[in-house]
Amino acid sequence: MADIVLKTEHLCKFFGATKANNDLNLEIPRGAVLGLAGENGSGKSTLASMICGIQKPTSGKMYLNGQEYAPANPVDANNHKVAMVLQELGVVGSLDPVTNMFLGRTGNFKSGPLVSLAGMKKEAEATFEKWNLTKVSLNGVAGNMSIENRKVLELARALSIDPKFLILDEISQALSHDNRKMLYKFIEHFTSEEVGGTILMVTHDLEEMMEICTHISVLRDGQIIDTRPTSEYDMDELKRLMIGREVSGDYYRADQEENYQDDVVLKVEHLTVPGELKDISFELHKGEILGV
Amino acid sequence: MTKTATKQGFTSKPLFKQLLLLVLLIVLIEIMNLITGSNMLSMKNITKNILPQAVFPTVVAWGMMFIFGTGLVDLSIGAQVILGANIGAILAMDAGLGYVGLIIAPFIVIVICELVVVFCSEILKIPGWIAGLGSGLIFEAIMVMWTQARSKTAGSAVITLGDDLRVLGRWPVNVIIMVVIFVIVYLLYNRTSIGINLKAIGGDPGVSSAVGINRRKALVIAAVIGALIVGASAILNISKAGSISASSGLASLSTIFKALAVTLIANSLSAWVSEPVGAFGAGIFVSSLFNFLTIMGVQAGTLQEVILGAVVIICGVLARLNYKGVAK
Repeated sequence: MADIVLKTEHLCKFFGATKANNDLNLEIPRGAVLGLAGENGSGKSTLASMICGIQKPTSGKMYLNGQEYAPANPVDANNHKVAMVLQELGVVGSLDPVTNMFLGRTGNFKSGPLVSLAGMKKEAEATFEKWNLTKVSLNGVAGNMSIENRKVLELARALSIDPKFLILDEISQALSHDNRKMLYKFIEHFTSEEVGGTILMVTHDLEEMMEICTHISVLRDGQIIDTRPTSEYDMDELKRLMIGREVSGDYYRADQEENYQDDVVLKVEHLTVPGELKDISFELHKGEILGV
Repeated sequence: MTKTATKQGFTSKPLFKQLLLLVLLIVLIEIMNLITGSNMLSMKNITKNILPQAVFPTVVAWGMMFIFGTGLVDLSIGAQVILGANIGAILAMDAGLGYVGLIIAPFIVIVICELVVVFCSEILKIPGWIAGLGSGLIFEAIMVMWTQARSKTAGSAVITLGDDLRVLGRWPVNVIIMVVIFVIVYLLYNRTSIGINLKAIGGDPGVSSAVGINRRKALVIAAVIGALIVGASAILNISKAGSISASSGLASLSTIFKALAVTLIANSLSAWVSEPVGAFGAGIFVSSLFNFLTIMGVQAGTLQEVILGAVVIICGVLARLNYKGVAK
């Protein structure tokens, strides 16, 4: 790994007695898509939030392009060309989508003492165009956008700073099949030699991780267990490293096959909410876990 | 794949909805006018009553927009207005400072009062409405003690402005000042980073912090701006009325009742029209409504407030119909 973009040295983040991240040593090469694998609570999002300036490390150091890197806040991280789409972030529902894209940076669009709204809109449209993102309506308020469109907007917000290092934390979960395809194409383009970007990706979808990421780091209990090129992992090994014991077959519970009774607890027939739902019908049985 | 719609300004609200509200406002006022036998919209009534009476609640509502916008529901604003206006009048009359005292004192007093409330809420971690109510009681008590002391020395507890110091409260000066304040408020609220950050914090503090907005800094700036606007309303109010009596036991809340209604109506309509514009329209509407009710002989202080309360609720319901998210 000759050209290292981001490096962490003995990075720790403690919340009281909880060691969310403990002595993390990580090197991310330029152009890589590094997947962070780990169970819930393994420390993936904490690491991402330290890199993007939301949390400050308890101890340890980070280096960006060889220079010590300690972002004071997310805007500082943005100034270092580091951007993020975080799992728990979101948009301000009462504001319009364009303002959401440039929140915290509206001062960059000053025209005299006032913020140039036209300038922001032009930049927003240029960002969607440049990265070939699925276009979403920039009118109205963000609170009225679908969850999926909000995620696309968050991605556009991250890309609007023209980042070189991008963190994607559980972004694909909210996306439809078409938008996932858009995302994967974007990742390919972003990490190409032409753009030279690097991505840190957090996802629970292991198949997606194996498909998309060039490298994978496995976190368990706040520590990095292993980091290797994706081609050196197989799925069973990845699962074993994540949870610390041998697992074969399905990572998720395989004992839930039709283990429910005939009693119908909830029955929905032809449920329609104009503009929202159309002709929804289903039955939920006692003991059944129904995914929607 | 949906295309980016470009036929409307992204920060402006849908034009047809704004026009619809304007038409609705005109229709409602015209209906009231017709019921009063066209007495309500006579030039004399508009210039003597409707517009001047809209000035104070509308300007206070603009100030509240900044203060409430941060999530700080400060109910001491009425007490601040009374304290600031009276201290201005004392400096103008008793200290002989004239307009200098009348104008500068309310701004300074109300900014200090508002920062006290912000301090209580932010640093001492007291919920904003409790900090406001507690501070309001103190502000009222200060004014009561002051006027009581004055009654012993000057012979009167009430400070009355001389006629030569009441120009700012007279038509058309007061309305011109209101329009100037509106332009400033509109630009600050919609076209500056201060206003945008304020709305972001009020909308979602978590997201705002995560994108790097300094919440506390934005809150203090918004509180100072809001206090300056409320300060302007205090000057306009005492200039119009000549005097404002000190009150106690949170009676000062009644001073800002109409302004609260204007704020609530503007907030309810915020999905349709920018809040400063909404407050402008709501101020005119509330003033017209009270004027209409007065002309119709409806008792002030009870039934008039009941009707205003109902209007606020109706606006709230209409606003929720347009919202697809989860009601907070």
